[in-house]
Amino acid sequence: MKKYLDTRTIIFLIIMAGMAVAPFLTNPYQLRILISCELNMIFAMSLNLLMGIGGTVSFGHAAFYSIGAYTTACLWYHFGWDYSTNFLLVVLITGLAGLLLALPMSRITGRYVTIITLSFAEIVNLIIRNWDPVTLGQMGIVGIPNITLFGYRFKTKIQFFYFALIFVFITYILMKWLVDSKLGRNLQAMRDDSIAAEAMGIRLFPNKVIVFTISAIFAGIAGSLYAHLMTYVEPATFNANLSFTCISIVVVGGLGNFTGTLIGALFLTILPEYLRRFDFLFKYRMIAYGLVLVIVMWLNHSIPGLKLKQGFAAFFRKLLHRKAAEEEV
Amino acid sequence: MKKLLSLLLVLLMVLTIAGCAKSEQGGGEEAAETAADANGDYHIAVSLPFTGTNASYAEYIQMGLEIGLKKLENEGWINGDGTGKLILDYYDDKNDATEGATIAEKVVASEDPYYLLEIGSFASGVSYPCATIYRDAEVPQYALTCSKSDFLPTSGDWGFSLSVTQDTAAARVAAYDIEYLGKKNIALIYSSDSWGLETCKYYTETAEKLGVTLLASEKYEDGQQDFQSILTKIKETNPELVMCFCAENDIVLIRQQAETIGLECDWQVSSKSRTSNVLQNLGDLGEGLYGIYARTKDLNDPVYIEYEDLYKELYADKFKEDNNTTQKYADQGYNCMLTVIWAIKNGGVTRQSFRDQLATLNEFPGVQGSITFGPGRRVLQTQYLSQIVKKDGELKWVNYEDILDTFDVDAVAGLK
Amino acid sequence: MLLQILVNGISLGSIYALTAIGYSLIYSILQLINMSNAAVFLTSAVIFYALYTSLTGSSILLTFILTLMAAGAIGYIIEVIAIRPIREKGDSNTYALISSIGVKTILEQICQGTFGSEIKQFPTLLDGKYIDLFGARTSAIQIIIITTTLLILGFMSWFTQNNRVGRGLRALSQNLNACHLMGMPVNTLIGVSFAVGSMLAAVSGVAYCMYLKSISISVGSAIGNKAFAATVLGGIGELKGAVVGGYILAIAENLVSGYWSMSASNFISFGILILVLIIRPTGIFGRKEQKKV
Repeated sequence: MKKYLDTRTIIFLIIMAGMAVAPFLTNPYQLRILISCELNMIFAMSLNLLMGIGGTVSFGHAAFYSIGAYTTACLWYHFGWDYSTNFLLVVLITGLAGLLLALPMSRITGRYVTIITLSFAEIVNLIIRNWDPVTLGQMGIVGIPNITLFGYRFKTKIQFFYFALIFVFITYILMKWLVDSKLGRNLQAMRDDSIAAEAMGIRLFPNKVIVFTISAIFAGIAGSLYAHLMTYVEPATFNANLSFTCISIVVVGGLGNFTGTLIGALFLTILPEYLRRFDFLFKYRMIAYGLVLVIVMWLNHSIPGLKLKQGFAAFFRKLLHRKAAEEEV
Repeated sequence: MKKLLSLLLVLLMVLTIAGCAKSEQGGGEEAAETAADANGDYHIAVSLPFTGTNASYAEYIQMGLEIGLKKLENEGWINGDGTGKLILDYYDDKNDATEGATIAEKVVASEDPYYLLEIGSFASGVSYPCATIYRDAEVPQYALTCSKSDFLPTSGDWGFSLSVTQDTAAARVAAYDIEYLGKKNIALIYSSDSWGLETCKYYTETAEKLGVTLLASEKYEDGQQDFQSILTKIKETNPELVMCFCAENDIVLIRQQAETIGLECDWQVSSKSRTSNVLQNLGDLGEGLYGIYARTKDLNDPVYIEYEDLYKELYADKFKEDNNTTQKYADQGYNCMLTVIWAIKNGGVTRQSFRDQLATLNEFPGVQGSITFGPGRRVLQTQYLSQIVKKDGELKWVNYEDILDTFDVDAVAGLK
Repeated sequence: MLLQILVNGISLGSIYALTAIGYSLIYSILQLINMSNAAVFLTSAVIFYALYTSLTGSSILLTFILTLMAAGAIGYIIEVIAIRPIREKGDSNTYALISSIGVKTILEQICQGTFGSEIKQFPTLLDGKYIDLFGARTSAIQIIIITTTLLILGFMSWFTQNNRVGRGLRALSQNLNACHLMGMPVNTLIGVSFAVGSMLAAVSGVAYCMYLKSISISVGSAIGNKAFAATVLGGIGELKGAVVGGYILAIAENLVSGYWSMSASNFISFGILILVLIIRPTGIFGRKEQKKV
């Protein structure tokens, strides 16, 4: 009993319960932001699996998001298929893309992986920009309808909200399960010490391939939801900034901490919107955003488990310490 | 325990899904007699990219809107007695589709202030996702600069635009270049955004109709700074004229780098690029540059004189900085404001009546000539050729207003 | 045409190389990809423009020296404020990376807010002077940029080999902890490396804007990723690697966009990067990272 209901799980359940009742308390604008939060949650959790558990810093996670978004958008545009069919193909195609990106990992390690992911994202974006017959290039795909499941089309944003919430729930449970599974333990061993892990008989490459594929699939699902939410996709949306936002959410929430990712997504999605109400910040909203990033990293690089107090205490102690040291000299 | 909790949660979700269809219909049903607030003031939301690479366009549009407001204020606001103010709320969408859609939801959901209409966004890519939101909520969306041809159909009955579509604009430019200027060897440079792609397509089509095959047709990605390689390529084809469908910043870079590698020919720039900024930065290189511009400006036109006076009064520094001219996007912002005021004054005090009223706009005296909303609320305007020439040692844009008398551009372009 | 493209490629390559060294220097010491470098590139160009038009009475040399000093100071401050607190706590580089992304956002936003989004004329040297190199038109500023780059490269290799501070930096890149134990002023040295990296970014930023004769707020973003790719291509942490990577990338890009199309050129530069990394995972000159058990 105790094993299951640790603090993180309780926080997770509180968040989910809060989200479940949210539509009754919010107006459409707030609901929209919450939907963005949900998409960011799925997106960031998929990256957290790769970064926090797999130990790979990816600068190009937006690539999978865009592949997911474009897969469902193109299938709708060219064949008029509904989401129940598109979903399977989203999983298939983003999974394959993840697999493709994992292939060079047999040789490449460490920081170079980061660079490969960055280049991969750039190339995916260039393909989307220039493959006119399929993706319509820069023109974007217009008028994507709300999600349709087996002929039933969602009528309201609230239905969409709950649909996405189910995905958040599934993603979280699955990620948790993965972390505790053999794969997760292998990955953590590899992350902490790859040589020792190899010596223990863990084969690095197959594990990496699996984690890249799973991570890509969930990022792709988030992307496919995005396409139906926005009703419009264009290549410019899926730029490097999207990847950076995602990394920020993961790191602010804490590496390897999926509950933290949920809180990080809520925090970093709502923050820019909240800052909008301050007129003096009109043009400098994003400066405040950058400042928050730096300060959070500074204090204790994560909000959950909020060791803010300790962070401040340590900071002042250090200041005093330095003063004392100077006086002695 | 955990299983129980999650089961409960799923149950809760299912219940709410079932219940939610009802709750959605609750809001926005009471059709008020007027959109004005308790003081009799009208609120308008403006969503433009105030940060990012398109910020200068947004600032000019804002200037135009503010000048329009000033004019109204001088006239004693809507009712003429100091009541019925218009209050603009500006939002920054960063030229980002996701941001734009969020703002649209905010505008739609806002009860206090209650927005009569929304103005913006700047780019078609941002206006699209917003259009469906405004359409569903039945809020008029005045996307004044959105020129993409399928924007208006997307927005149902609720979208308006002040820009001519590219099929018209680009065809006219091609007709000018080939028949009026008499150029047969033409190379094309265009930006690979939706605007650039559309212009390129229609320009090429019209050119082929007129029997001219383009020597080269070069596309570049947004954010490109170094154009020397494609210019070198174009130089090899020896063009008489290089046509640029590019953002104004890129025009400056392209023209300067063409000088660096020694590409000598005539230059024609798109309607997006006719700003004093180009003039200022190019210096003597700008001489001889042609530009196509939607404007029937007669300098003695009373509408224009009033506008220019207010412009000088409110933005004297900017006016001087821009070589004593008004700027295209400010003109459009002003036109937008004038038409909004006109519609409100003529009974457009609710969202529905405002839309109906604005759609009937016909031969409205704007600052770029008269404005008419044709079928599908698309604006009809004529375009004129202008050129940079040296006058008294200073570079100036000179408009060729008389061309239309001798040269029927629409007939040549096959638009009639 | 081929010669013209090569000349353009080499001048662009010089800009890439200078920025790439900045990335490489900091990476070799902290194993940190310093994302704020591209923002410093832009910021120093904006500072140069502001100083030139308002304060220094249009003296390019004086403005340049002041800009370099400002860039150095910015680099040092970035290290002290955003990187050092994280580093001293012994936290993973990933946190420092996010912090540098935060700094990048802040700097870019400040530039945008103060400078605006319009393109502006940038002062340049010997405008309108050209030399004909076997049919390739070479402007004076291109030659100046190429020679300056070569001089700076020479200086950098002298600096890291023979100078006390430079040797200190090399020692840091070998083993940070050992340096600490040896009583070296590690913090100051790392601060210096950030200052030097920023100054290099400043040189390339100003040179690039002089080359374009104009400045707009998008100059940094175009170069940032490419310089980063160049660093990796050559082998991250290696001075000559950054330089060779920069030249290869710029020339390849120019050739492809000259003979094919500009969209393809971006494709090619990242394609080359992935290919090289698959064939030689540490880049062209990179040494294999030693894994310690």
